[in-house]
Amino acid sequence: MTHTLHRTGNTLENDYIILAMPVKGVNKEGSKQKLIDILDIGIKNGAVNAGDTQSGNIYSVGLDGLKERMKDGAVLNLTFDKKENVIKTLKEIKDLQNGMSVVVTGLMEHTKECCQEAGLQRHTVARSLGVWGNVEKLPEEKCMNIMTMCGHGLITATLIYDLAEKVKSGKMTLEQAGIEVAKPCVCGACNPVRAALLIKEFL
Amino acid sequence: MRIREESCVGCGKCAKFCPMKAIKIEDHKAKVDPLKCVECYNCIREGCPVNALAKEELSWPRTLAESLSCPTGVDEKSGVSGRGTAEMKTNEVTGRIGHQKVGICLEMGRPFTGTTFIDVEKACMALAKHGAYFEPLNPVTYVMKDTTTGEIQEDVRPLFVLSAIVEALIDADKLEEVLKSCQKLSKEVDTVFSVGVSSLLKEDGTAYFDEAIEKMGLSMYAGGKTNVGLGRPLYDFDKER
Repeated sequence: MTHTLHRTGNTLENDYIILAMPVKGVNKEGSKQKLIDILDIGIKNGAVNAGDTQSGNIYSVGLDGLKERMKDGAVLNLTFDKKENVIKTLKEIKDLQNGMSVVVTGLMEHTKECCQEAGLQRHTVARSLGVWGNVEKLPEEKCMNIMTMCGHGLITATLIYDLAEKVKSGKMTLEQAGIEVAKPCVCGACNPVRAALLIKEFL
Repeated sequence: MRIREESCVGCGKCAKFCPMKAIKIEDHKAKVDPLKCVECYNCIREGCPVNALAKEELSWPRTLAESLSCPTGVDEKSGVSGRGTAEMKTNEVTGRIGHQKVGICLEMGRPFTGTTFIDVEKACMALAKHGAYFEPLNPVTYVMKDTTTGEIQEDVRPLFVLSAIVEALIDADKLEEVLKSCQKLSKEVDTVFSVGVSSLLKEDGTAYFDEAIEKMGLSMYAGGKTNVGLGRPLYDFDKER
């Protein structure tokens, strides 16, 4: 699962994801409450989206719905638009010491600083070498920058153009359009604040 | 996925959410192209206003398309949800990617093009010839006829999916030759693929993939993922040395 690794475009300095999960057969049992504790920390510290692939995200099922649906073994994503909120969240998760694995995605220089500030030792890293193959099949770049926020590929170009038109015609605000973009991304990894900034480029 | 024509009012909402452009509106009714539909159910999740969308009873290998394309699905054989495994996300506990090793993920069909298993097989074979160890819990691995060659079962080859992750572990000193094979693969497939690498961080803060990537003059995206080592119990990586 590489779903937050291949994001493209500018404004990535406003884009972070903290993922938390247990390991099946090791610490999965009883993990639901531990993940909800981490979810609560993230929401308190200004997460702009949250979700779990099996349960949905806060814009599709609501925060209470997400908590109800989560099970032992869930994969929790918390999405942020501000580095300081990531640092606060990482510090509190560290203090919790509940044994869940935690991964932070973002610009590598920024996430390195986040780890230092939170007193965390970086352990394992993953990097993207980009898109290879028949790249002529890809959609236009400004669409790609929004669409790559859902690693499962569920944000469509058609939806983006439709939302941009609705913003242009005054039927919707940019902020509302950002949230509509985030809804299909079931795991909550899509950043609606960044999506709104990127939709602005279509106006 | 099927459309109950008698209920459909042709509003086009489902088409807007279809990542494979498999749904068209003709004569005020939605029509789904079964060759393009990958069973991701994005259209169903986003809610048809007249409840005209329904899942079909699927049989193998169409069930594999569903488990790879629908993020909420769980693969019936491996029991794994989604397209791959936890790879580096839980590495501090599992010890999956050890010293002198690089995890490599070729995500076929991503972004937004989809892929057949004919192209997935080409990727598997490109890695297999370098002695790649394919992740046993990944759904792509268990549809291989032979993990030493990367060949895929005949009944699966024509299958079209939203994306499929070829996930393997290689020796760090073989990364350069593996990436050269991926460059060759790039010219042989009819789809796109996203390339990801992962590694433990060494004491000096560098990763086991840095040297080969720099030597080849390849560029990495500025963003990336960092496992911050909080999972417990910790795996003892030094016992491998």
